[in-house]
Amino acid sequence: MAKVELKNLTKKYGEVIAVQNMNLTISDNEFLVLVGPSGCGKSTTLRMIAGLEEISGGEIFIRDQLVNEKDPKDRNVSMVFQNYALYPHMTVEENLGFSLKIAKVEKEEIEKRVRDAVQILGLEELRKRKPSQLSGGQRQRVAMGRAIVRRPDAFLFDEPLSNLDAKLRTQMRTEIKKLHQKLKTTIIYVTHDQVEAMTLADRIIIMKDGYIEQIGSPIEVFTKPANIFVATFIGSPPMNIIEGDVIRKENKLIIKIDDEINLECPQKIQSSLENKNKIYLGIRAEDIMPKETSDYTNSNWCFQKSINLAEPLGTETQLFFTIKNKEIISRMYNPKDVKVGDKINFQIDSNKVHFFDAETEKTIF
Amino acid sequence: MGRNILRSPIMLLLPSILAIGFVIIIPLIFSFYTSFTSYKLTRPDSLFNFVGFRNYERLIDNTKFWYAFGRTILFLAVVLNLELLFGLGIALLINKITWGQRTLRTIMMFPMMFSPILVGFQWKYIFNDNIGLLNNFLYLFGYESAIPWLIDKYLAMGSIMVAEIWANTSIFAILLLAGLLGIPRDPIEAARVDGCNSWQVFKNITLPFLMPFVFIALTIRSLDVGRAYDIVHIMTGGGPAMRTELLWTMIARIGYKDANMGFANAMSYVSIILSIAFTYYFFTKLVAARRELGQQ
Repeated sequence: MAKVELKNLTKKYGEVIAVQNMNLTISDNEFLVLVGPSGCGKSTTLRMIAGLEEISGGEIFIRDQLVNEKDPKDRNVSMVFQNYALYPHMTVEENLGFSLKIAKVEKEEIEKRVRDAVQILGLEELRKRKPSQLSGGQRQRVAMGRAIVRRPDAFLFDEPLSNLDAKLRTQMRTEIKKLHQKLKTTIIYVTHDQVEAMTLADRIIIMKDGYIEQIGSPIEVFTKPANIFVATFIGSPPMNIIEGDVIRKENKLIIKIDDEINLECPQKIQSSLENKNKIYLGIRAEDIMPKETSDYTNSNWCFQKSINLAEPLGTETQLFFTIKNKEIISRMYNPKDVKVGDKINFQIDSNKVHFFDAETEKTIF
Repeated sequence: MGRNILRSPIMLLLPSILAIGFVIIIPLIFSFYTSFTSYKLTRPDSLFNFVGFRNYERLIDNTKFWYAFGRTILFLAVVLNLELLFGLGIALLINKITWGQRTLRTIMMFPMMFSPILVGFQWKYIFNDNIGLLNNFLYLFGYESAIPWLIDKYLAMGSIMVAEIWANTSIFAILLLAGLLGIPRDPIEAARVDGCNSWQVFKNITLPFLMPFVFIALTIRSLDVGRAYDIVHIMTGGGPAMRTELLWTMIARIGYKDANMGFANAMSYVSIILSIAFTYYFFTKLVAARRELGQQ
């Protein structure tokens, strides 16, 4: 188990920059998740750590040793691939024991470690089978087992659950989490699925176009997104982003959304908005609440809109309406029948609104 | 009504039945029949001179035939193995390069574009003991005595093998390259992370993936090499003193030169056993290799 450190890590494919000046320290036993849309450089980063991709610039340290020039085989990390990458001509047992056989570990030791892994992952019945005779979930488990038996310094997971169906994915997610608690290893996990990132991670890194957008605990990145990208990427449904003009009126700052909605700027952020004309408001669906009140004046952040679409999900109903031609989602937690075209009163929880700079798209407050 | 239903399927099948009959079945039956006669091309009436198993009995006692039989097996074994080895090497090298792969693939196939007869002529002149390129080249390095490449009883066979390998190694290379290109990247990367060096990756991952292609190539080439005739005929004509006589050069000589078709056909039917044996063996291996990979 060991610390992994990236210093100014850069990867270029010709002129195209895949990863730019990445600095990161992954501490012992940490579960770190790299998340981002496809092409953001997260897999490339992982593959550079594994040694499968050459580094264009910067340094990688594993257990305080510079590994830039080392072959994958000498880095003592193990990797779980998206397509499982099992050896099709070997049985489950042989797949699990392969790395130890290559490392010339004694036979009894191999048997013991394979037995342990088989037990941890519940593969007892399948030991003699070939990968082609296994289901997706079982193959995934074998791939994880193969990583476990090596007792590596760090586990690298490259979108390991993307090929599984929704139900199995949730189940395997739990298993990976349990596995981490049991094995206490450094894990670097790449995914494009923000739910996986939120549920698994000790720390999340959100990447875009080769840059790190934000690093933080799941709760941090959810409650304090650094910019609009992170705000809309983390959380489901994505955060509503509404454009607003800042208007000065009788010593007060008003945020004008559209002709009907003018919101009074909360005291605590007035100073930061003073010299701005335009901002973006980020409001999560659960912070735009339908209100059964006749008072829909703008003073306490209430307004009225007619509904375009209602999606009942059981515990909640998601209401869709538009502000300035942009679709806005609201969550209604005590579902009642809503018809398209119904006029509904909403209240925005002004304490939970995120304010973003209109130019930099960074969080203002 | 009832007659129409009966007739139309037969009518529809008739063209295929006729085609297969004329192309395969009738020649097969005819040649098989002649192997039981003393049929000589120069005496058509001998076609009806039924001699039973005489031809086959003569053949079993014919040491020259069995020498040719053994020589063909040796020829197959050496040529197939070396072509496989060189072809695999070339395929692995070409698979490595990222730039100019297509051009190299095309260049590699040049030998396949020549008729085997021409390849035979070319190598005949390269190996010629007087005016040949090879001896003249060696002369430059001080080998003053001309080496009788196509005349020496051992060297002649080797020379033919060289020509055959030169002409056809690229078939192996192409087929194996196709196999290499089809290997998924993931298991290879997984093996590298699992601690394998290049040789271990090749031995444990690449080769098992490649085996079906190896056996397909071997099957095709064993049939091809097994019927070798043209290259031998041009380069040595089976000589010196029949030391390079293979099955088909011998059969052709007896069938057409000696006009002894009945006997030649008997030989052909015995020779076919060899091809069937090789094909069967390689196909069994192919199925096993695919099952190993879980593809069947």
